[in-house]
Amino acid sequence: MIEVKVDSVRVNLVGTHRVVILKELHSERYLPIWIGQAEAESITLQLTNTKVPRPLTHDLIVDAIRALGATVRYVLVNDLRDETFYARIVLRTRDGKDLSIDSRPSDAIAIAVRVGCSIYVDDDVMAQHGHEPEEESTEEQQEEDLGAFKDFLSTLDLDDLDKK
Amino acid sequence: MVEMLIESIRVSLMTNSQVIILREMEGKRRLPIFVGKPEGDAITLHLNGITAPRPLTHDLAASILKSLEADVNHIVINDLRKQHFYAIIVLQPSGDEEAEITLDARPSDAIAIAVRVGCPIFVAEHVLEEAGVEPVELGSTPSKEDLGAFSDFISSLDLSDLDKDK
Repeated sequence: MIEVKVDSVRVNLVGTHRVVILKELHSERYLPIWIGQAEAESITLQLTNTKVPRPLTHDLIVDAIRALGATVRYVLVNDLRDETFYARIVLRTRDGKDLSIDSRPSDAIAIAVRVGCSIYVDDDVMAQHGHEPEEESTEEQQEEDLGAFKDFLSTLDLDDLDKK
Repeated sequence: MVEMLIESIRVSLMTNSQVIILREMEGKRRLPIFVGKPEGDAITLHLNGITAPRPLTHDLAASILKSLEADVNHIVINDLRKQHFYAIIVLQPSGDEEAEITLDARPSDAIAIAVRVGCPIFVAEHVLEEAGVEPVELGSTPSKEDLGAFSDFISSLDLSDLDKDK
């Protein structure tokens, strides 16, 4: 399991879908997950500490978990099948028993940001679907990239410059 | 408390909101409640027996309550303040008949959970008195007064002319 944090929630201007970017805690690798508008709003409102007059659905779920004496241990994005991500919410009951509940990642994340628990991604899911940001180019690569200009420069006869 | 049924869910074509119409179980009063689109959809989908491939947020809420062995006893739309309805969800943890846990909720969330667990939906009497609407009664025999214009017209006809040839 790889621990991640919510890096950002991004808006697709042509559709109603949103993308939540989960970034690995100790690396630059990230995992984008498409989520619905309502869930994205719920995550965003919580991350921006926006007070809402009435409890949203995820606030209600967190209230219920707490009222029943349970806690959220962590959430885990554990699978991707047929282009759909799967997640689990791991609860610890009042009696100290752990329960793993099937959830969409969006709901799991909306709950995680409210209770402040860890968010994990399964190693295989991250290995197969995580993205690395574009590498900063090294000096060698930069020289290669400049090849065309170098070639041009070497064709110039600079000795001629002063002559007229 | 008055027990209610969900009579219909209506979609406003102009805005994104939907209206849930609750009907008194043993009476005629209705209570219309505006709800947001995701919550309205969550209620409609479930009432139409449509199961989403992945659990919706209210399915998750119901499955968490079930996993934590709490029964949803009932829900109550218990207040109306500044044009906002308030609701509570009354839980009963298993193995403890006495204990009741009350959660503050929006009516839309409470109803979306109620239809999933199949618990009764109540409305506080004072809320129904304030915001309930009674359907307009349609009498079976219209009074003579209502028909005034037609009787005036009929009495102006000269029916004795009917049989005569032109």
